Amino acid sequence: MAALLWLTAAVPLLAAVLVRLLPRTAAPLTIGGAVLAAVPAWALLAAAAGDETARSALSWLPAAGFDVGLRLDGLSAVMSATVATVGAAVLVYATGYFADDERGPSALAGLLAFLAAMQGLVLAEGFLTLLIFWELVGALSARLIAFNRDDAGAPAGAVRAFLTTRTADVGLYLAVLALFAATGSLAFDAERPDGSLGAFIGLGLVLAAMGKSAQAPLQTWLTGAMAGPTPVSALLHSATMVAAGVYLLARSHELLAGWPLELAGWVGALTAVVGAAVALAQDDLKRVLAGSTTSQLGLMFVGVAAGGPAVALFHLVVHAAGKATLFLAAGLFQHNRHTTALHGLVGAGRDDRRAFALFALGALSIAAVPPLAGFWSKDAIAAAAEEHPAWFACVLLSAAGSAAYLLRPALVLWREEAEPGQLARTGRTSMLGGAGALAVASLLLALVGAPLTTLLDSEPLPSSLLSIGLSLLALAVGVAAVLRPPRLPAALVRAARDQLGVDAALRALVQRPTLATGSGLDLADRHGVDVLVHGIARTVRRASRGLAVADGRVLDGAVDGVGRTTLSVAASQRWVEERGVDAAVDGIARLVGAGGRQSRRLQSGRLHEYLRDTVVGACAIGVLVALAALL
Amino acid sequence: MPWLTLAVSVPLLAAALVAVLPARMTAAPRAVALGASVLALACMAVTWARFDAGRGMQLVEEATWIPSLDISWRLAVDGMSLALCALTVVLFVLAVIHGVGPKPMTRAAAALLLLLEGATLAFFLAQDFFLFYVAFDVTLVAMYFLIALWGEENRRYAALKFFLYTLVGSLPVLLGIIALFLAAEPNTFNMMRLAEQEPLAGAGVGASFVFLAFFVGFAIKTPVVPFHTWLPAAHVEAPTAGSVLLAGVLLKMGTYGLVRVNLQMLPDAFAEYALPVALLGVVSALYGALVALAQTDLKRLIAYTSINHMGYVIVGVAAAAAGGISAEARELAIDGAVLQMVAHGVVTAALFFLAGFIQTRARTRDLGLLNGLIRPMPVYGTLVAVAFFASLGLPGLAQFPAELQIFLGVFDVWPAVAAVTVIGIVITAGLFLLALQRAFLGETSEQWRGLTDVRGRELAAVVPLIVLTVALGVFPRLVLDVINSGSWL
Repeated sequence: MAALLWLTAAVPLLAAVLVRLLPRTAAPLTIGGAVLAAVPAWALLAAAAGDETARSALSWLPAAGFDVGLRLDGLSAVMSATVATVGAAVLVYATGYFADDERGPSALAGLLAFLAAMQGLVLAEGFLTLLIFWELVGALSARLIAFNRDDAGAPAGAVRAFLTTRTADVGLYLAVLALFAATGSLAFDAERPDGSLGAFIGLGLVLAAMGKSAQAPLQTWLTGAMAGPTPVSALLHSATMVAAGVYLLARSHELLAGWPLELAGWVGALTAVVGAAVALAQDDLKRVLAGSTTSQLGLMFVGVAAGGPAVALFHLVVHAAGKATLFLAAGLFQHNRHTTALHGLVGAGRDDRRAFALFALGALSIAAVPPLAGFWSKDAIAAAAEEHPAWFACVLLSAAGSAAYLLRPALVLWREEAEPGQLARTGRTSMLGGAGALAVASLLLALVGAPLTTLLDSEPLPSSLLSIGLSLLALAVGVAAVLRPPRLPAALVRAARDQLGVDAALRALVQRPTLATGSGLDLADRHGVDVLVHGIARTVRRASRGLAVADGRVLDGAVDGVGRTTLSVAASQRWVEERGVDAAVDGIARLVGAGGRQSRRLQSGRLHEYLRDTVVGACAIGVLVALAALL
Repeated sequence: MPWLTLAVSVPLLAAALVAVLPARMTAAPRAVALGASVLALACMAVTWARFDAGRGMQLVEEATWIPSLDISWRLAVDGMSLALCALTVVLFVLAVIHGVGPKPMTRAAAALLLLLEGATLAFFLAQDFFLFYVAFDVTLVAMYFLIALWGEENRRYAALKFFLYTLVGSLPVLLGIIALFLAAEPNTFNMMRLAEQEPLAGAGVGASFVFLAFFVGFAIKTPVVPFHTWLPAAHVEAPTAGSVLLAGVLLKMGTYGLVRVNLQMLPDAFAEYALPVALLGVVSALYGALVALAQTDLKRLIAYTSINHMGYVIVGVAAAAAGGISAEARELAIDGAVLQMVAHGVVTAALFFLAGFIQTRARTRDLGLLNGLIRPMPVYGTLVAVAFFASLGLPGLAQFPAELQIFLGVFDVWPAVAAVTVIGIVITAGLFLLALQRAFLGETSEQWRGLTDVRGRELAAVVPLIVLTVALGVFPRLVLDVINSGSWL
C-alpha cells in the first residue's frame, strides 16, 4: 500500500522530468504519465472502499512528530482519485491544446509537476506535509499562470494569485504553530485544544482555506488567474487546486468545531451569491467560469459547515468534473476563434457542435438541472442549510444565479451568425477526447453520492422536498432572468463586474500602504538612521576628547589607546562632514596597517602592551558610551 | 592528523605563499587559491566524517601559545561550528572559482581571499577567546581590502563604513572577553571552560553589562536594526565574490557569537533580556523585508532581505534563551537558527552571484530598467527563480525547514511574537515576486535581446549552491543531524 501511495505522486513527477528532458516526445510521455498516474490512485480508492487505511512516512526533522509522508483513508482516496482522473483527462486535452506551441513541453511538464504536488497535498499524512504541498501547488500555479508571455496580464495575474494565497497561508502557518504548541503533534487527528487557542487554530485554517478557494473578499485573484492557458484554468483553477480549501475544511472538520466552522459557512454563503453576481457581469467566457467557480466553492463551504465533509465532498467531485468540462469546451472555442471574449464567440457553438454539446453537458450539471449530478449534490447542500435560513437563502440565490450565468454564454455561443467560422485542425482529437471523457464522468457522478457517504463513514446525504422544490423554482427564476432580463441599476452591474470594488479596496488598504511603508522606511533608512548613528558618533567624540584630557593626567598609558579610538571616531566624523575625503581613508588605512602589523607581532612578546592599550581604550569607550546614553 | 588546524593553516600558509610568488607567474595565484581552498574543504569533509553528532564539543586540538595568560591554540567543533565551517569552505571554493578583481586573479586578491578563509575558519573553530578575537578582527581587515580594492565606484566609502562599524562593534566584544577572563576562577580564555562555568551566572548588573557589550558587537556584525546601515552600502559596492562571502559567511559570525557567547556563557543575563532581543529581531525581520520591498537595485534588495532573514535567527536564539521555554522548543529554535544561518548562507550566496552575472552583462542591476530577461537568458531566469523562491521560504527549498523550526520554537514562548514574525514571509514573497515580474517576465526591450545566458565558470559557481538549496530543503536532516543542538546546548 505504501508503494501505491508514493507512486501516485511519483509517476506524474517522473513524467514531468521526462517531458522536460525529451521535449520531442512530450505528447506521448504526458498522456502515458498522466493516465498511468491514475492507476495507483484508483487502486487506492478501491482499497479505501475495502475499509483499508495506510500510512507511510519518513522522519523529516530530528525532533519527534515532524514526519513527512502520505496516508490512505476514505477522504484522501476520494480526493486523490478525483485529482488523478481530472488530471489525466486535462493532460490528454492539453497535448492537443499545446500541439502548435513550441513551449508546449514546458507547460505540460508544469502541469504534470503540479499534479504530483496536488497528490502530495491530498494524500498528506499530517499538517506538516499538507503545509509543504499547499505552498508548492501555490508556487507551481503561479508559474503556470505566467506561461503566456504575450499576455501582459499574465505575470501580474500570477503575482496576485501567489501573493493573495500566501497572505491567507499565514493562517495555515499560525494554525500549525499553535497546534504544535498546544498538542505537541501535527497529526490530523490531534485533539482540539480548548479555549481561545482552539478557536485561533480554527480561524487560521479557515483563513487559509478562504485564500486557496478564492472566497470573498479574497476572490479576485482567481479572475486574474484566467490569464493562464485554458488547460491550466481547467485543472488548477476550477477542479483541483482551488478545491484544496474545501478539502482542508473537510480534513480538519473536528478542529473547526464552533464559531470557526460557523464563519466558514457565512463566508461560503456570501461568496456563493457574490461569485454568481460577478459571473453574471463578466464579458469573457473564462471569467464567467471563474466567477462560477468561486460561487460553487462557496456552496461547498456551506456544505462543510451545515452538513459535514461528505456533503461538501460530493459537490466537490461533481463540480470538478463539470467545471473542467466547461473550461475544456471553452478552450476548444478559444482554439477556433482565438479569443474567449463573449463578443468574439457569437455562434461559436453552432460552428463546433461537439464542443457545444460538451459545454451544454457541463453547464447542465453545474446549473443543477435534474437528473444530472449537480442537481443531487447541490440539493444535499441546500437541504443541509435549511436550518440556517440565511445560508439557505444564499444557496437558492446562487442556484438561480448559476442557471443564469451559464445560460447567458450558452445563448451567445448558439446565436446564429451570417458566416460560419473555421474549425482549428491541430490537436482536436486529443482535445475532444479529454473533454469527452470528463463529460461522460460527470454524467455518471450522479450515482456516487451514496457510496461516498459509506467511504467517508458519514450519515446519508440530506435531502428534502422543500429544498428540491425551491431549487427547481430557483432554476426557473434563473432561466427567466436571462430570457427576459430585468432592468438593473447600472451601478449594480458595474459593481458586480468590478467584483464589488474588492480589488480597489485591497489595493488601497493593503497593497499601497505596504508599498508606501516600504518606501518611507527606505527613505528613513537612507537618511535618518545613518544621521542618527553619525550623531551618536559625534557625541561620543566630543565626550571622549574631554575625557581623554582628564584621563591623560591620571593614566599615562591610556593616552595611546584613547587617542587611537578618538582618531578613528574623528575620522568617521570628518567623513560625515566631507563625504569620503581621501585623508580619512588614508588615515584609517594606516591605522589598519598598524593594527595588522601589531597583530602579527603579537607572538613576539609585546602582547602585554597591546593588551593594556586595548583594555584601557575599550574601557574608556565603554564608559563614554554609557555616559552618552545617560546624557 | 590535526585536521582542524590543517583546515585553518592551509589557507593561511597558501596566502603567504601567494604573496611571495614571482609576479610573472600569472596563473599561479588562482591555482594556489583553488588548491588551498579545496584542501580546506577536504579537511572539513574528513572532520565531518569523524564527527560524532551525539557528543557535543569534540575533536579538540590544543597547543600552548602564551602560557602566562593561559592562551592556547585551541580548536574544536560541535554541531554549530561544523555546520558553519562546512558552509565556509564550500563558499570559498566557489568564490575562488568565480574570482575577485581583474582576471587572471592577482596575487593580492588570492592572498586576501585565503587570509579571509583561514581567519573565518579559525573564528568558527576557536575555543580560546584570544584566538576568537584575533580571528574576528583579521576577517574585518581582509574584507575591508576586498571591498576597498575591487569594489564598485563608491568602494572606499563603503569599505570605510564597514570597517568603522565593525571595529566599533569589536571593541565591546573585547571588553566582554576580558570581563569573562577576569570573572573566571581561575582566570582563563578557554571558551569551553567558560561555557561550563558560566562565571557571571546570576551576577546582576555586571553580567548585564558584559551581556550588552557582547550583544552590541554581535548585533552590529549580524546586523540587527538599527546597527545595519553599513550592510547595504558594503553589499552594493563590494565585488561579487565579496558580497557572496560577506552575506554568506561573515554575517553568521554575529549570530554564531550570540549563541556561542551570549547564550552559552551568559544564559542568566540573556534570559533577562530575551524579550527585548527578540523584539529587536522582529523589528529587523519586518524592517528588512519592508525596506527591501522598496529597492530597485537588485543587490540592495538582497542585502535588506539578509537583514530580514538574520532577524529570524535573532528571534530564534532569543526564544531559546527565554526562561519559560520547553526543552523541546528550545532545541527546535536553536536547530532552526543554526540551519537558517547555513541555508541563508547558501541561498544568499547564490543570489549575489546571480546579481553579479546580470551586472557584468547589462551593466545595471536596476530592476526598473531590466525586463523580459527570461527570453534571452532562460537558464539564468530559472536559477534566479529557484533562488528567489528559496529566499521567500518556499517548502522543498533550504530556508523553509529553518524558518519553520524557528517559528515553532518561538511560538512556544511568545505566540504573539511568532505571529508578527510570520508576516515577514508575506512581505518577502511580495518583493521577490515583484522583482521577478519586473525584470524577468513581460516584454523584452530591444537592448536586452542580445544578452547571453550564463555559462562556464558562472554555472560552476552557482549550480552547486542551487543543488545544495534543493538538497537542504528536501532532506534538512543532512545538516540538522550534525547540528543536533540538544547535544551541546
